[in-house]
Amino acid sequence: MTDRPVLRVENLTTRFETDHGAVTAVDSVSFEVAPGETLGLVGESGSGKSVTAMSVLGLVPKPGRIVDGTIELNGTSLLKLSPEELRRRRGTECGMVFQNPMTALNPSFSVGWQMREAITAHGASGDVDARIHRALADVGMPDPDRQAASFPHQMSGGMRQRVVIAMGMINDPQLLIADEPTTALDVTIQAQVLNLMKRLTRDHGTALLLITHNMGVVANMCDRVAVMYAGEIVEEAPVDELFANSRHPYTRGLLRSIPNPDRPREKTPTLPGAPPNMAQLPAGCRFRPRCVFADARCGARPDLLTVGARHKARCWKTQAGEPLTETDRMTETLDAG
Amino acid sequence: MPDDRTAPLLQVENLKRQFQVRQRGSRESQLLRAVDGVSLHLEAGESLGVVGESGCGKSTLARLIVGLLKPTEGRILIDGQDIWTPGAAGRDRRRKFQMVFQNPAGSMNPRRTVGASVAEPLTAKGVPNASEAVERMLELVGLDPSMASRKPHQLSGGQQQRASIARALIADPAIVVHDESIASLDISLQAQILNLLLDLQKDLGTSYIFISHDLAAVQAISHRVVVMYLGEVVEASDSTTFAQRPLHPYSLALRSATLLPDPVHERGRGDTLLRGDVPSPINPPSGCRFHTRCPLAKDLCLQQKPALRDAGSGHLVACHYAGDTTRPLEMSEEVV
Repeated sequence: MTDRPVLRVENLTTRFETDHGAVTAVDSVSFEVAPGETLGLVGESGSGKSVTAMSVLGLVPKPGRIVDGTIELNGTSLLKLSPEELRRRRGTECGMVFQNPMTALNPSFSVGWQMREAITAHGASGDVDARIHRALADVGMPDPDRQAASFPHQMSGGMRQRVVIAMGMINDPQLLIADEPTTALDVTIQAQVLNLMKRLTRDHGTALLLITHNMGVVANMCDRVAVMYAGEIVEEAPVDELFANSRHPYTRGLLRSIPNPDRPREKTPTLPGAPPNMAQLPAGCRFRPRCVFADARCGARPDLLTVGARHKARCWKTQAGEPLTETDRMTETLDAG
Repeated sequence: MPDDRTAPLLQVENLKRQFQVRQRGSRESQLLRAVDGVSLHLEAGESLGVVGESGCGKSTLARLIVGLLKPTEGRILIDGQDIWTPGAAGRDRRRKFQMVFQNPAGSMNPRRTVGASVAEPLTAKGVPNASEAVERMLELVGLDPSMASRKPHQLSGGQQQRASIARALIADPAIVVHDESIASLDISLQAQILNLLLDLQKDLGTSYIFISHDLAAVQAISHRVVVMYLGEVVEASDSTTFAQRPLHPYSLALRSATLLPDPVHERGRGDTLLRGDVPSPINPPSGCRFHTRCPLAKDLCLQQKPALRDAGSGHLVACHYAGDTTRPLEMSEEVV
């Protein structure tokens, strides 16, 4: 195999025509996922991270529509394929795991029936039962044959998500797309499910596009991270670089606004304000209204440019080589009571 | 009326709440002990955090404390007096509580203005003109007073939650119970709300009970932390001591399962994982309820329920082995 990326997205633009005007949920987004790599797509609600994933999967809900860009899966442009062909490729080369296992699974059919469907819909070969057994055993299900006969509601949330992961991996795809796979789970179960995904993608050499808002999940899982804000990627870097040396004020603010469990009753620095209304985006840099570093330059819209080794940021200040010096007004402390 | 000045603001004594539940297709109903003998206390102007996984009974506890549910057993005392005393006396005591829910949109009437919703606790008390108080409260929680004339759907999630907090505080309650009140907000807004709650407490002296599955958020706001498992308190401590040295194996597991925004730390993470899921509260395990998932469990834990004991300076723990320095707490490694 070559070093060709499993997934290449270029200038992806996805727009929703609404009563309140057009909303460009994803605006000229470009990124690549290398074979076996885990890329985190991070952002808050409304940042466009889920719509990006939906666009790649060809599942953008109406009235949304991909209006521009290229999406290549293993070198084949998905946007040029017929719906039939797209469905086939999606099922065999790309698996998916969604946040809510209860909606991903059909409540009226047994788990085994649904897994059989996922295999046979894409041209089964060999012993399907054995594959189901192996897939369920692979995700740590005790007594796989008994579990295959049970229904989703008979399982706990953690077990259901294991089934969804088994289904996502069943055709041994080169790419797995997971949208907030552990957000609905308790923390102790979250750790188990993430470990499982890490082991499976490593053993099968599967690339993972992980969509999450949780910086702890990013730190635990990802090789590389792309941070989204208001429909754009604002920063992209290897995971260590991003956490140690973030070069976009939004990323920096987001990382600092996570409470430190070792320091009770201490104020957490915050990002002021809230993400913009996507139908009324601010002119220039979209983060400007919340940015403590904003100056006159930010009236023009910055591009996503290289600011270091494998590190890109959409910020005039860092692109000019100026440091993001921490300001005191971002931090306040309260007496421990 | 007697006023016991030595009593804490809130005293919860051996609180129990059971539900009759019936499995689908089954005729027999079973007893679900959602809250099973919880005792705790809260001093004026302080915050008590309650943490635990889904199914541990924390939301039932919240509803019991504010008087939305009646306990099966046990007492809830405010200033030393029972909130379920029959008649007006009990009702007045229950009015000293307010609650902030997880879903701010669902907890406000979509057809009424935000101002009318925020004014509700005052209107219920028969205060005729609340508009001035509403404006003052909105400003206090960081909202523009003009928001009063809007409908809830015209506000963002963060603004809605600020309005819910304004509503909870407007009638000057003694205690506000937060049930996962920041869980549905984005991270940058969670920190804003946590800071707002700290500021408001300093200014108004309100006491909080802060219920959450998120240990870091609970510690960020609480003076004292209570850890619940299957309807019971397994550990209670002041939050500084708890942050430095949690004692119960379940607390340690919760802490070690919390992912930190630090890739270096995360790479070095040992597999300190709990086995399996929370068991059903309908048939909780014998002895120590945590023994089915506990890496330290011995025969004693299967047979004998550990009492909630003082492990030193008010740090309470319900474990036969916690704090035993001859048996250091090392979680066994487990690969999933």
